[in-house]
Formats: sequence, structure tokens, C-alpha cells
Amino acid sequence: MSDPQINEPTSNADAASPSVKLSVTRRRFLLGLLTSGAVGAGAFLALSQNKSGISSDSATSPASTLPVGTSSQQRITSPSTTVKEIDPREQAGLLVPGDPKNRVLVVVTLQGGNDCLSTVIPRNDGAYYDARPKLAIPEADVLPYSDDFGLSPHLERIHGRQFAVVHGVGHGNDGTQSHFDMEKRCERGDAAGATGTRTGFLARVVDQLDDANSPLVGVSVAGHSPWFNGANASVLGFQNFNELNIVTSDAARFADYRGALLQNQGGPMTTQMLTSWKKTFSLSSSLPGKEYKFDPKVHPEGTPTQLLQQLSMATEFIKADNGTRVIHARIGGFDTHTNHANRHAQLMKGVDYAIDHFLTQMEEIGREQDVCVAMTSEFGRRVAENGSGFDHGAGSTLCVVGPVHPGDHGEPASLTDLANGNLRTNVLYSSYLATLAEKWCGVEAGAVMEGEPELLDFV
Amino acid sequence: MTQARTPWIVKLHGCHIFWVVFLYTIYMADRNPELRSAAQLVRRATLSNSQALVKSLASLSRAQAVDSLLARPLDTAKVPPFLLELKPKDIVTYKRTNKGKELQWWAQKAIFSTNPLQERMAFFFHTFLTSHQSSGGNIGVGNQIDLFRANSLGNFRTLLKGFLKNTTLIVYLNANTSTAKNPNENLARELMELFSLGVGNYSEADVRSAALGLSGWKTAYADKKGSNVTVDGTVIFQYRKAKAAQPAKDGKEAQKAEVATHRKEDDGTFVKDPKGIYVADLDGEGNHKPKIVFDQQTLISEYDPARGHQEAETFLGESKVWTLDSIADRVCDHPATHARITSLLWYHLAGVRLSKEKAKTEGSWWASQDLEMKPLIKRILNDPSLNETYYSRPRSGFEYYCAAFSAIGRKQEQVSTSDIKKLGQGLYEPPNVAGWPDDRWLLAESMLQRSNFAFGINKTNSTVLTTPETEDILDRCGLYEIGQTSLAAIADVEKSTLSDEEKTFLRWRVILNSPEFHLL
Repeated sequence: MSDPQINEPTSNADAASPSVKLSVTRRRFLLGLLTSGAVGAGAFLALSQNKSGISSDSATSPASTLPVGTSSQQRITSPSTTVKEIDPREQAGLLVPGDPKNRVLVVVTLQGGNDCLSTVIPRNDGAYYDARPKLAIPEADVLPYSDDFGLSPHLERIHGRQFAVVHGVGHGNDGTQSHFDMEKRCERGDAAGATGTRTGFLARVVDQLDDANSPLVGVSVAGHSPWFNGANASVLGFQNFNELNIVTSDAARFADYRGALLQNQGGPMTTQMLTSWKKTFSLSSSLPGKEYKFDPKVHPEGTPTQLLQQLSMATEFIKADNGTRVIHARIGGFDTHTNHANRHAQLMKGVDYAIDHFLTQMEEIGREQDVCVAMTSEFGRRVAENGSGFDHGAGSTLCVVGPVHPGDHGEPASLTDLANGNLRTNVLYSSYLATLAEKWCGVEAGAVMEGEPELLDFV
Repeated sequence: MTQARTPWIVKLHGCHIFWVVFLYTIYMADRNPELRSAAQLVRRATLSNSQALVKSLASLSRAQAVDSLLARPLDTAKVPPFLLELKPKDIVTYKRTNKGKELQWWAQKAIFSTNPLQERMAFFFHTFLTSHQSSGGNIGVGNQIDLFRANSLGNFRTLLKGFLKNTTLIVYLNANTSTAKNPNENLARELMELFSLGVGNYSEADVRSAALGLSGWKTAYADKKGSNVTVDGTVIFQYRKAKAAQPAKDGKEAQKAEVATHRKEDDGTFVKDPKGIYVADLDGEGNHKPKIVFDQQTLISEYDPARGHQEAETFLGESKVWTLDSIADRVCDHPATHARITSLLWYHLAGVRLSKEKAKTEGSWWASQDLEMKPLIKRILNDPSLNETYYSRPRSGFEYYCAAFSAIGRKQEQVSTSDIKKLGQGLYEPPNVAGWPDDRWLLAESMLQRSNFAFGINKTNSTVLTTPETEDILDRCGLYEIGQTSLAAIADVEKSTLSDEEKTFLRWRVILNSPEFHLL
């Protein structure tokens, strides 16, 4: 671990103790911003302004002049030999990550190539408006969170939460513009497509997190997920809870079915089958899914449900406390070659509502410190508009919501120095994923990623 | 169950790496041993697991049965174009490819073809000569299915060359972007690593040389390249959802309404409906805008000498100007390819992992047969060791689907690509270019999928489920050898308090989830 402090933020015993669990709701978060002392608020603003975000070693970083350091923790050494670690988030009244053993990583894939420049808008960059005379989001509509950047006007709820933005993420400047190729690189955590690995990145993470006591370490709520390809740990992919009826229902025909399958004690290869059945069926006692049914009517009329439904299922797994540590969700439709403005707005609204609702649920069960939602997308879109939409691009900007170090991280790509009309890569995708693995999941990056990807400080 | 049950005989098969293989003694001594032998052959040589085929082969010796399977005439049907025809009023006829239909068609063939061995072998090639349906449209997929089915009992060299020229593969592995100036190594590497030689039998320099030799191939539209073209005087449009007019607001321009003229029905057809949701794509002026057009004949692959490499390179120890065909010939002449393809087929048909030495010997023998598939298939299926190795590998998701589908007696039109996908092996959707890992089929995700599939059968979608007798169910499932714990599990159904009908369903579901049914 390059920075063990970050993985052990709960060395502060109070924060780690369930009995005094820090519970920062969205409202508390906002309140914290308004009422926390100059130090905390200043830290947040500084973090927002720190465009490079990973420049904790840079003497010129604006944040380096602040009393609480940059986006990683700072040690304040007292005259005595004791060392106290202070997390700037804690000082600012923000969420700090919970016990590493309880943390859940939720990866949300925006499939089709999300236009990052309509998601995180470089609101002061004239080149943005020059390249997109029709489709740029007007500055007045942008939701600012730092001097230079703001979120899509349709990400209002996320804007009110604790979030980090990682700029300039990509697969290097030699990637293709093929959805499939680039999805593959994302799924495998193989930014340059050169390592030859064939297993999914999340598969390698769950294998590291595998625990004999956890019946289900990884869950894809979007059906089969290539991110989990090749996992040895127990992983389930499904699209709706009906598929778990045979696991969760008490009705006799389900119970008898389970009982009968578990009778298979001595046939060929039965050991493996039985282990699989046992692992799956053991969820029955603790999974509250038997009463769960997704009801779109409890949400405002017209709310997009694709991601909402998936994250609602994710909520059930986290509530069940079955040891699930990694969840993958996926929302499609981001391939906005045409009619971008309307389509992207709708997609953003869906993402915004679903993630906010999910995190609200986490607050209600006191797990808001344990859950981090990280977005991925195979690529961004072309900088310049083409008709009513955008062609496939390369570099992207990604958002992470949860107990992160808020503000800008990575290095924003230039809108004028382009590679074939596309944003250049300043941060390899593998760095983004490796950071989530090591600093959030507590899995050493080297165990799940080839090479030595540079770790970022957004979490 | 009143029949005497003999105990299991357990023996670890020496050359298997992953699986503990049990040698079965035979349950039910009064059952016909010829049926058992025929069932084993049908399970391995076909995907359909047809009870009728088992019965028809039961009176033959193993050698005769294998010969009879190999002697069947090829099913020469080709994937139909599957174009949807749409006629928005006052304009022109629209056509649109009906995506995914070709996969359903192939799955139907896998189960109902008159030459089930041909289908089994076509599927075998799809498991390692991989492509993804997202690459280059479904026209190339249809062509590739035709290629596999036409050559699955033919010559490997012919099949490999056709595969390398398939448009879906060319797009899938970026060969269409590969030029002599900027060779893309993707196809070259996978050709050697996955489609022929295997890792360790080539160098990085060979990859580069092959990439140069393969450069210059691309996909094109045969009639009018690179433009919006018509097919038979018609124009094909992409269809999009209708939109209401949007007034100008907050500085955004007003948007015209997109008139809906067609509605998509549940069966995938489009009907005329002014209030429907599908319309032709419109350009910025509100005019209909032609999109990419193609049909079965128009999308082709072709070699462009100007993009290709015309200089001599050293590839696998030989220096010359290489072409796609000569590269394919070179890898087909290589002993490592013979050993590897032979090994893959031994595992696929017999569940046996050959040792390196045995693979070499078997590969060498296959090379002496000029890489013809029929002699190799015959040799494997007639091998005496097959009679000793029951249930030696898991059925893959598609294999499980086909076997269960035919056991429960569903009709051809009920073949569902969505169900196949739910079993983890959507055709032309391999998780990666290496295909589907052999070791995933008994993991929790797969077992949940299969448990769900078996639970999803009921008397409305599977007419034979009223069959109450265990022995009849076992026959339909092709299980003529089954262990006593599986029988005990089936017998335990009697203890259930469910109704008799529910008990019958449960018995079926349990048998479709018996360890024996999950295996080949």
C-alpha cells in the first residue's frame, strides 16, 4: 500500500466504533459546508480548486498552502512522539470512509460512451463553447463546484453530495474508438490493452476479498457482467429479483426444490455443484429479497428506472449484510450520435436520481460511510459536435460519489491540444481502477493490476 | 425406486486436470445397455440429445453408429436475410435487419437439424474461433454461421481461411484498421494464440510479421462503397423513437416533432400506427435521412493492395511476402496447430484432456489426414476409452439449453436466445476473445441460472411435463446411467407435501438439475 493512512482512516477509534458511527447525511453534508469552520470549508474549496488534485507533492499547489493539506491526509506532528492523523474530510464535517472490512464498491457503467463534457463542464473554457456552438451547456445552467468546472444541470442531487471528479481518464492515446475494444479494456482494467489479461478487474478484486464466511462477495445487478469474468470467488449476476425466488421464497415448491437439489451428495463433480448451490441457497436466510419488489410508483412520475431498479437491488444486498463487497450496475444509452441534448439530459437525470436515492437508502441504514459509487464509461465523446450529437471520443472524466476527497482530481485534458479531435489521456484508466481497489477496497493494487499504476488521491 | 443399486466406483482419471471423474456402474440392470451406449454417443456427438436418435442408434455397434452420424447429408440451409420490411406512407419501402434472428435460427438448427453432428461441430468451432455480434453488424455473423455449418465436417484449413476473411471477425479484431504503415497486431496474435498454434509456439516477431501479412483486409459494401446505397431500389433507414415538438426554451432552439408512423409489435414486426413509437431517422431539416444500408450480399471483406504489406518478412522461420492465405497455410502446417486443435476436440467431444505427448501423436495422425475433420471425429468417438468415461466434463450453458430444451419437448419456435443468454452462453457474445472458460459452468452463477431455467418450465411451455414416471423422464433426458444419490434425491420428491402435479414438475426439475444432467 503506497499510503496506508488512507486505508486506515478509522484509526480514530471514535469514527470506527459502530456505537458512535459518524452519520453524515446529505443535509448534514451541506450544513457542514455552511457551518464548519474556516479550516474545513477552506479545505473543501481548496480541494475543489485543486485541478490537478494529485499534486500533494507539488509545492505550487494552492492546497499546499492550506492548514489541512491536499486531498490526502496530512500528519500533524506534535512536539511529543505521537502522530495524529487528521482527515480533512472529518474536519470539514464530511463523510470519512468506514471500516475497510465493511466497505462496498459500487461500479456504475455508463454504457455507450458518456459525453464527459456534458457531465462535467469546463465552464470557463472558451474552447468548449467554440467546439459546441449548438450543444454546449450554457454557463448559466452549469452547477459550479470549483472555479473552472461544474456539473450538468441534471446532476443536481449529486451536486449536493460529497463527490470527486477525476479528469483526463483514458486508455492512452492509441485506443480505438470501438465500444467493444474499449469496454474490454475497462472491464479488464487493462488500460492500454496490452497486458494480455483475460479476467475481469472486479473478478480479481473479489478474489482478493473472498472470505469463507461471505456467501456472495460480488454481485452484478445488471445481469452477467464481464467485469467479473473469471472470478473464483462467489459471484452472482442477475437482472431482477425474480431470479432469486428459488433462493428466497418460503413457498413449498421453492423450499422443496432447494431441499432436493441439496440432496445431491455423491454424483460426479457434485462437490463443486453442491458448493455452488449451498453458497447460493445460504443467502436465503438473510436476504430480505423475498419481500422486495421494485415499485416505480413510489418514485416521481417519469423517473427513469433502469439504474434505479438496479441500485434498489444493490440496496437489498447491502441491507442483507451478506458480505457483498463489490456491486456492478450498468445503464445503457450513452451512445449519443444524434439528439444528444435531450437524450443525455434524460440519462443524467436517471443517473442523478438513482445514485441519490441509493445513497439516501444507505444513510437510512447507517452505511453511508461504507459505500462508494464509482462511474465508468468506455470512452468520452468527440470534443466538437457533429449534427445533433457527438461521435465516439477517447479521454473521459469520471465521478465518484461517497466518502471521497471532494473536488477535482487527475489532470483535465486540454480542449485545444487534441488527439484526432479527442481528449488526450492524462490519467490511465488502470490508475483510476487501481485507486478504487487499493484505497477503497483495501486490496493491494499490485495484486489486481499488472504494472505499477499510479494511485490517485480521490479516496 | 426398487431396483438394486450398485455402489459407485470412484476412480481418478489420470489425465484430467480439473475434474474428478467417476466411473459409473450401471443403474437398472434391466435397462438396455445398447441404449446406454447410444445415449452416451448422442450426448457427446450432438447438442440435441434426442431420444429418438438414441433409439435409432441403439441397435448399431459404436462404429456403425458413428459412421451413420458421419454419413448423414449436410444440412445445407443458409441463414436467411431476416429483413423487416416497413412501408411508411408516401415515401419508399424501408428495410431493416432483424437483429438477433440469425442466432435464434442457428440455435433452432442446433436442436432440430437433420445432421446433429454437423451442428455440434459448428458449435465447437464457435467456442474457440470467436467473434462478437457487436462487431460489424449481424450480416457477418450470419455469414460466419453459414461458414461453420458448411465446413464443420470438412477441412480445417478451408474453414480457417474463410473465418479469417469473415467481416465480423475482421471488425472484431480490428483487421479493418490494419495497414502496412500501421499494422494492428490483434488478429495476428489471436490467430496464433487462440485459433491455431497456442501460446509458446511463436515469437513477438512472428506476431508482427503476421500483422503485416494480414494488413490490407477490410470490410466494404459490395455495390456502392462508402455511401448510402439502395438495395433492390429500396432505402434502409434506422428507426428511432418519436418525439413531441419542443418549444424554444431557456435559449434552446425549438425542435420539430418527429412523426410516428410505425409501431413495433411484440413479435418484432412493425405496423402502421400514427401514434406509434418508431419513425425513420430525421436529419436536421426534418427530412428522412438514409443510414447505412446492407444486406446479406452487400457486406463483404476485400483485400486492398494499397493498404497491404508487399515486402518479404520472416514468419515462423520462413521468409517471403506473406498473404492471408499463405499465413493460414503456414499455421495449418505447423505441428503445434495439429496438437492444439486435436486437444480441443478431444476435450469437447470426450471430456478428455490429452497429455502433451498424446496431443502430439494425435495431432500428427490428424495431419496425415490432411486436416479433414471427419476422420478425427471418427477416431475420437470410436476410441474405446470413451466407453469408460461417463460424465467427464460440464455441459456449457448452450449445451445445457439444447439438451434441456429437447428433453422437455418444446417446439422449434420456442427457441429463445434470451434464455440461452440467461444460461451464460449467448451465441456470439463470448465474454472475451478466448471464448467461454471451461471452469465456469458449475460455479454459483451458472448453477443459479440453471436452477432458474429448470424451475421456469411448466405445463404451458413444456407439454411433456405431465410425464409422471421417473424412468420416462430419465429416458427423455438421455440418462441411462445415473448414480444412487441422484436417484435418492428424485425419490425424495415423494415425501413432498405438494400436489401430484407439482410433484411431477419437481421431479422434472430435480432431474434437470441432477449432477448427471449437468455433465456430458
